[in-house]
Formats: sequence, C-alpha cells, structure tokens
Amino acid sequence: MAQPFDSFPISSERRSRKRFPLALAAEYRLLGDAERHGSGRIRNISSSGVFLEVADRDLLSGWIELMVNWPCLLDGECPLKLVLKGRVVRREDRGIAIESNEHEFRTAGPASGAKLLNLKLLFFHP
Amino acid sequence: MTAPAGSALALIVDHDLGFVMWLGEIFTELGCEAVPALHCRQAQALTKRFNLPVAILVVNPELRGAERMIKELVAEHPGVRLVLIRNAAAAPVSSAPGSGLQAVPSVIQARFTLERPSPGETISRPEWVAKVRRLLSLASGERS
Repeated sequence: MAQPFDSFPISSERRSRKRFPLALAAEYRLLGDAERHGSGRIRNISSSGVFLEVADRDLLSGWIELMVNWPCLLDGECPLKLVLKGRVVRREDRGIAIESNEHEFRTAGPASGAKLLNLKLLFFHP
Repeated sequence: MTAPAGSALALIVDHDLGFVMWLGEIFTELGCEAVPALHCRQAQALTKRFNLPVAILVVNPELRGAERMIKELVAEHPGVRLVLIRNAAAAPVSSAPGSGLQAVPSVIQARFTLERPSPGETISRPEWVAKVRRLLSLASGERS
C-alpha cells in the first residue's frame, strides 16, 4: 500500500471549485461492505471532486477511493500516486461524479519492486 | 512532442488539486517531467528525499513557506526558472501585500508569471498548451 508522505489539511475556503479537464487512468475501490474494484478514467477534477468515466457505473455508489498513477517516476523508480476518497453523488451516461474533500499525493516503492517501500517522509501540521 | 526545455523537471506547487493536475499533465505532454505538490512542505520533502533536479519551479507565491522554499531551491539549483502563479485580476505578485516575496528578485533574476483561470473562464486546453509552450520557450531562452 502506498504511504502518505504528508497530510497537510487545506481549508475548504482556499479550494477552487473550478473543474479542469483531464484524461488520466484511475483505479477505484468501493469502501465499506461492497467489495468492488476496477478501473476508469478521470475526465475532470477539482479540489472538491472528480468525474470518473467508468463502464460499470450503475453498480457504484457510496464511498469510493481512487488511485491515480502520476505519469512520472521520482528518482527514476518511485511512483507518485494521487489518492482521493469521496462519495458517489451522481451517475451520468458515461460515468460517476464523486464529491471529495480528502486527497493527497503518496509515494510508493520502486515501480518494478514487488514490495512497496515505506516512504513516509514528513508530517507537518499548520 | 518535444519540449523546448527538453526533459526538464518542473515542480508545480499549488493548493488547488485540479490546477496542479491540469498543469502537470500539460507540462508532461510538452516533454517535461512534472512533479505536483499541494503545498511547500510537501514539495520540499519530495525534492530532498528524491534529489529532484528541479529546473522549473511553478509556485503559488501566496502559499505558506513559498519564499523560504524558493530561496532554498534557488540555492540548491542555481539555474532554476521560477514561474509564479497568480490569480486572474490580482495585483502583480511582487507587490502583493503579504505575499512575502518582495525579496525574490534579489535571489532569482529569471522569473515568469502564469495566470490561473478565473472562476468563470472556459478552459481551452490548446490555448493552455500553447501558453505553457511559450513559457518553456522563454525559460529555455533565459537559460542559454
């Protein structure tokens, strides 16, 4: 499991609600009782949520976690991931809208390694 | 696509997740290695932990610790190009009261600004790709 390297809270009033279009692959996992996971593609993102294009949208509801592999390896070998948790608030033709106020970038072990390294770097509090 | 700045590493620091991801994807598309961070402490931790060869620092100067981070990065990477993110219709960054960046010109000569989209603005990806390409071209020119 990837490790958070920071969990600096960001006050909601500083967040922008503006959505930015993206096309990044994401893996999802339903949280709670339903054991469901799969993959989709983020179509837009803001500090308060994302739209995930996904095939089995009708089966997705409740709390969900997304993991997005950032297209860059730190030091040539360590993946950087965006981990976002939120709630499915709407289904549309091609996917689901997720409202989220919890997101962070995390580092993990070498991309080729079977065992992920604990790279918990720093925890700061304001 | 080949970036004017080659495979330079761009460290992008802003509190707005959407903007950071969006900018990072564009820098990546233009051939840069882009590393996003949501605040200065996170950016500094990543930089130190992974010895990131930061060539371009894109930062919101209103973030806590921005001035210190800039100074430290400039000291460690003297050739770094600084791009300051400013809000649409905001005062120039260098004179913004409380920005804490009045000292920046003395620590770095080459700097540029990038205006974040205003809340009502329709975002055009081609326009932003062109904008970032121009920025990289300018930064590349400054470097030579």
